[in-house]
Amino acid sequence: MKILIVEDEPKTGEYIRKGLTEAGYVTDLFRDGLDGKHTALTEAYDLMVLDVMLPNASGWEIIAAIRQAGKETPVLFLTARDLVEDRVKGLELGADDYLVKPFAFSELLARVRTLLRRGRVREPDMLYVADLELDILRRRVVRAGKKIDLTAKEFGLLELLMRRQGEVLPRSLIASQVWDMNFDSDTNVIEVAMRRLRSKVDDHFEPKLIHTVRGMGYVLEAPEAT
Amino acid sequence: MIPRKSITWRLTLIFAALSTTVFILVGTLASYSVERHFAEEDLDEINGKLELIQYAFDKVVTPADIGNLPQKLNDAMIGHHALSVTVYETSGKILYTTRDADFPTYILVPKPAHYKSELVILRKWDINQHVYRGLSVQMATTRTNGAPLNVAIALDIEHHQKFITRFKQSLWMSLSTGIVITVILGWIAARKGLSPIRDFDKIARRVSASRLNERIPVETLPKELVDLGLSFNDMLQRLQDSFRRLSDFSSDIAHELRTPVSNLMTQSHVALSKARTLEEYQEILYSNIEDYDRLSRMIADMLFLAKAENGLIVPNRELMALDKEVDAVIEFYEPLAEEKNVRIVRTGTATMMGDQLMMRRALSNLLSNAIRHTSNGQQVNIDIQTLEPQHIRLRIENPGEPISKEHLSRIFDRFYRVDPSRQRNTEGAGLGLAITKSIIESHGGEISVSVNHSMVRFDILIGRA
Repeated sequence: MKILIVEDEPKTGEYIRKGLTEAGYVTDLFRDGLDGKHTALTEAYDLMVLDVMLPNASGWEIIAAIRQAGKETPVLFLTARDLVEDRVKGLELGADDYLVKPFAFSELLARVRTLLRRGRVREPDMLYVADLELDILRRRVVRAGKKIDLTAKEFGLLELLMRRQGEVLPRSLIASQVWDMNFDSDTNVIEVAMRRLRSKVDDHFEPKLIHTVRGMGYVLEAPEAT
Repeated sequence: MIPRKSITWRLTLIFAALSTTVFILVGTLASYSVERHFAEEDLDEINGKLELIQYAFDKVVTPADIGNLPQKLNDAMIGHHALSVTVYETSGKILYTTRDADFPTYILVPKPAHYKSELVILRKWDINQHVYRGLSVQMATTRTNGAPLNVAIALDIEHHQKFITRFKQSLWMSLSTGIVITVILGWIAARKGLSPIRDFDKIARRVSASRLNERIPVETLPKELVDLGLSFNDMLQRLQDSFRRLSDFSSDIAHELRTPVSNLMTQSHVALSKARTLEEYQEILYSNIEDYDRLSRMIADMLFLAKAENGLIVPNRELMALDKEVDAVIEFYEPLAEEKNVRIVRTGTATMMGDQLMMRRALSNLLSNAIRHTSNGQQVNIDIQTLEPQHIRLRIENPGEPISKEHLSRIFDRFYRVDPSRQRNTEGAGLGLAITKSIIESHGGEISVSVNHSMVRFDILIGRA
């Protein structure tokens, strides 16, 4: 998976590149708007991460050029300005997502993954992680052969974690996906909800599947086989 | 562009128009009275002569007496050079005429005898550059045939006319001078009268960001300007208040940012002061992330408030069921509430036009606040009422420690915490209720808080559309 990053702030650009490379993506970083635009038009990428304010050609110009050239590459905008007009303009030009600085890298990574996954694989009806099974259609969860009773929201939470197993999910993303709370809300709630889910899914079983990543969020994964 | 009109000039013009009108009226009246006065004088003289003529007529009995008439009339007219008289029969035959007497024919049509010799029948005419005033009447005689005689009589009033012309000239001259003087005086008076406005202006000019405490001395203002002065002072007061809030806000920001930044700096410096284990470094980075997270939330919240203050937060209104939104927020907080053994009960329903995301955020802050301050085993009540057809009241009540009046009045202020010792970690930056308030206000609603019987109650009043 190849990602183009155009960001003129050296530190930000470098860290995004490092983070995405370490997450397993191939990345190209440009600091100049014109270079970025040229590369975006001539090479094939799976995703573009663009800053709005760039020297020589703005992020708006780049997206306008690639959409005009008929490329449907998903575009995620980064911006320091959070104005409604900016958002509207980005969406009108065909941007797929919008992230306001400062943002947590885990948030960026989660969104990058969402955009890359979009429309590519049919979601399965059954999810498996180690001995944990989740049946989406029948709303049933079984671990080590035992049925686990979950509330609707707990089921939604577990489904999200299992669909994106191995990914660190920030609290804000969880609040947005499971409860449709699309703003910075009280993060204690996610912690409590996660604790309750764990008590049902993990407490009486081994190995533990749900892990807290301090300062970043939660991840569900099976321990690597040794 | 319409040229700007100065009040001074406007007043001066009005003054000039008024004084001109008054002066013209006075002048016209004065010349009319003078003319009338002279006419009356002339009439008196004419009547005097007519009496003499009548006296002569009374002596005429026989036709022979007619022959003597001119002599008698001459005697009567002696010493009156300015007087012209013609006596004639109704047939037109002239019996007597003074030297130079020359009457226009329309004057020679006499008024019948029953006409009194009055101003109404007195006429004025000019012949050979002389102006005359006179009349003609029938006069009874004592002749045997009883036929009356006609008398035309006129005064040369040239000398009157000269006087009247001179009088009118000097009258209009002095009136024009008067007009000019009153216009100048009017201008001075208007300027003088408007001087409080210029004082006003002087004070207004002195006002600047650092001198918002300037006020117009209302006591010294004329009555008409008192209201203006009061509203001007009110405006200054409001400006001063919001200015103070703004600078308070800036210093609050500085203060709130200082703590996490100083934590981060100290921690990093200490960490680097000697070699540490991998776990220790990780621990420091995790702790840093927590501080960064708090900083970035605070920045986002402050930006939201700043935008709200500048009217940049425009709700994207759509029809929504308020009770459904409340339920969604309750569902979100359910785990937390259950953990604390707090029950949340919602009653009532209503639909409104509102921004779903923003309303959820507002409700979420209120509910989070209510749960936090409710003790174990107690209950938070949320009630939705449609008050009038167009208004909704949403009430969130929780039992909690009574909050004093001074705290209540500031509870929606940014960074305000009822209990200053309460740790920032658990309560956020103290911006939640301020954000809630700005969201409700951006929807045209209002929010208030009250406490009674140890129930803390937040009331939101909001329009449905």
